[in-house]
Amino acid sequence: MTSGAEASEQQADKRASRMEALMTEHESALLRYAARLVNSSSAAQDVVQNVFIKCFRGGYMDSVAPGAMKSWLFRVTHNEAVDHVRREARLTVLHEEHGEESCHNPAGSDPGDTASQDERREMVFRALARLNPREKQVVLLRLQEGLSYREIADVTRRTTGNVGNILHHAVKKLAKRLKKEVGAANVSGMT
Amino acid sequence: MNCHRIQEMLLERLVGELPESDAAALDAHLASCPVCRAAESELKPAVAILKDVLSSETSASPRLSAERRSEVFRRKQPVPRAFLPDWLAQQHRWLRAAAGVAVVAGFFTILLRNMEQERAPVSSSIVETKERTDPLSAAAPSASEDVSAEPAKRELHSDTDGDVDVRSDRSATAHGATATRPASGHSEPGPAPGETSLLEPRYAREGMYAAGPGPAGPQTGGDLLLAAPNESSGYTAARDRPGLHPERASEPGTPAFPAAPVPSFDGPPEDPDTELAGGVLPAGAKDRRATFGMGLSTEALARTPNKSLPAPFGDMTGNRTQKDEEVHRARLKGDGYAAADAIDLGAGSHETAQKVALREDTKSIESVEPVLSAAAMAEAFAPPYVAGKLSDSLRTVTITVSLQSGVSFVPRHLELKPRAGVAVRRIAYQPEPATGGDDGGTLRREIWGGTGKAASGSQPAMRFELVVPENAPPEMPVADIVTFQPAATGVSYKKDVEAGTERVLATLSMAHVSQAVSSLRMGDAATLNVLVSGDGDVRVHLRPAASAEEAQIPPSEGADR
Repeated sequence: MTSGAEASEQQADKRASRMEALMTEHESALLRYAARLVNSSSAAQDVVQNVFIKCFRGGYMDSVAPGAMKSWLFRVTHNEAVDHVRREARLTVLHEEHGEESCHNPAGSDPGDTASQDERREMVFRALARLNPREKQVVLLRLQEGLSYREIADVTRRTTGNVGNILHHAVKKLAKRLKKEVGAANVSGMT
Repeated sequence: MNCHRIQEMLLERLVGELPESDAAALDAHLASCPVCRAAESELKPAVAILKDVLSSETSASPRLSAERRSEVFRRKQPVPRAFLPDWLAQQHRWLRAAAGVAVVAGFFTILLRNMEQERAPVSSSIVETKERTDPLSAAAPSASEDVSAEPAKRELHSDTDGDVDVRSDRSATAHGATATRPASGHSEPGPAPGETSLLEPRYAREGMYAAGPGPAGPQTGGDLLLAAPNESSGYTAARDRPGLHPERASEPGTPAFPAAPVPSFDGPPEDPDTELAGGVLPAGAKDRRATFGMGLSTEALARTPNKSLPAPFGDMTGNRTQKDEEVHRARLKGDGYAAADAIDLGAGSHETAQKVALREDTKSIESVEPVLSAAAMAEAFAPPYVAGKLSDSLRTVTITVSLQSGVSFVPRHLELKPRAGVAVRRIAYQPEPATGGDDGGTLRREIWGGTGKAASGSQPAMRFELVVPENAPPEMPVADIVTFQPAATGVSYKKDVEAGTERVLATLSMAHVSQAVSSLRMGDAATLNVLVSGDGDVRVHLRPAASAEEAQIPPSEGADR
């Protein structure tokens, strides 16, 4: 093997190592985020895999600045998830219809009772599912993944003011939905 | 600060985004605003439950499965791109189309060269001074010598599928035989040694077509191969003329034009320049060596208003600018085109070009309407613009237009108008009985590249066989070429189509044809090579058909010239 080939091989190994580190650092957050967007953990695996393939094979891991990589990954994950949802539109509709039915008749729950932790979780995710993708994106990035307004602005390519506005409207919607589901008293009581 | 902004700040504080400096202002507003306090009471529990649920999600750390992780690092498999290399396949469509055309052209080149090798050269070329010293000419194959040493009757059989069958037959029929062969299959960027370029001003102005270093350029048009019968009554073909004979050409000290070995031949002209002068019979050859030439009558053209002739008598470059036309016209004039002044390079040609484009779009029209009617033809070109002089034994004139490439989206056509008394024997590729001829109409043959024989791999050709009467006088005109369009390059045309500017690059004008063939004489079999460059320049040069050079020169060598 020539020295040039060896150097090329070493370069490839180095690059793969960097990608491994990048995946290890971000894969969990991206999988959680994608799972919430597509309402499926297995689909989230597909989505995140595509994101990493783009990052590695597409050369973005070399072209995107390290400081902006996190935002890039979340942005591409969101786009991949939206594409996935569109492809699976029929299944999504069925899922939402099922979710709507569940909202009207939550299995094993009494609207008058204080919801258990699992029930609260189900309610939250059902409510999240009713948000539009833009609002869901901001809510998840802020309240689940803990991104700052600035980071969310980088991911969504919006201003921080716009991010705050979207989040405000989204939380108001969620509050109404949760209040409607379990009653304002229970929600207050849960706090 | 309005309540909306306050409520946003309230949410910011709930999610931990509010700067400490704004907290006091927020608290002050909440203390005095019941609406915002109500909003706080709504948002606070909702944010709390959201944070509680969603943050708990982060306790889980899902990992990408090993299978998917390995998929990320899997090497991308190259996608096969047929026979095109990657760098080419990634280019624009027109470039890929060009590559396809090149491949097909290469196929035709190989095919036609094979056809060349299968046929012994039976005819020689016109006399040219330089050609006598051409080493390639000296290395002529023995087939040509055999023919000249023992003249045999050769007859062209043009069957319905257009194949050319050249054979020797000693049992001569009453008809004069026509010896011809298809044009060379390989492309040449410029005239070969011994060829004539009409764009050589000196030669053109003098009306002679001696060899010259022709301008380089891709050969993209068709070839007009003119052949005439010979020697059924002692007629001496051009190959028997000493200037072309390989042996004599290589003999030092050989007189320029020694007596031909055929007894009936009265002798070659003394002066080769005189012989080569367009359409002029050299002294001593007027009876036996007829001249078949076509020349525009400058007198007739002078009577025609300038720029009044429609295409394709002009240069059918539809999208030329006025400046381009002026340059082109000046070039024609500078090169000694006598008829250039009367050739329309403008409006008429543009209309014709558009018609062609429409046909290309619709794919529904099978023929192109004659660009110039017979009446207009007669008006524009009063006889004798065709100067055909035949010996009394020559009765068959075959005009063949051979196309080098079947890849073109432009119809190529040749339209002939036989003179009175000239019968039509056959027209290749045309199943129905030929019309025209005796009734004064025109004969038309058209080829669309990529269809018919071209698609099947055979050489596309247009062939007309005209039979003159038994008692035809030696100077009887045979036929007039009404239109001849050898087509433009398929590649360039396709590219222009994609750009939305359909056009035909160029059309061989009558000036090109007439001046080129006016130097031919009966018995000469020469190929009229039409070179159409990418910018629409039309160049024509004569090339000895079936000559030794063609068979000997490999394509690569020819392309370097």
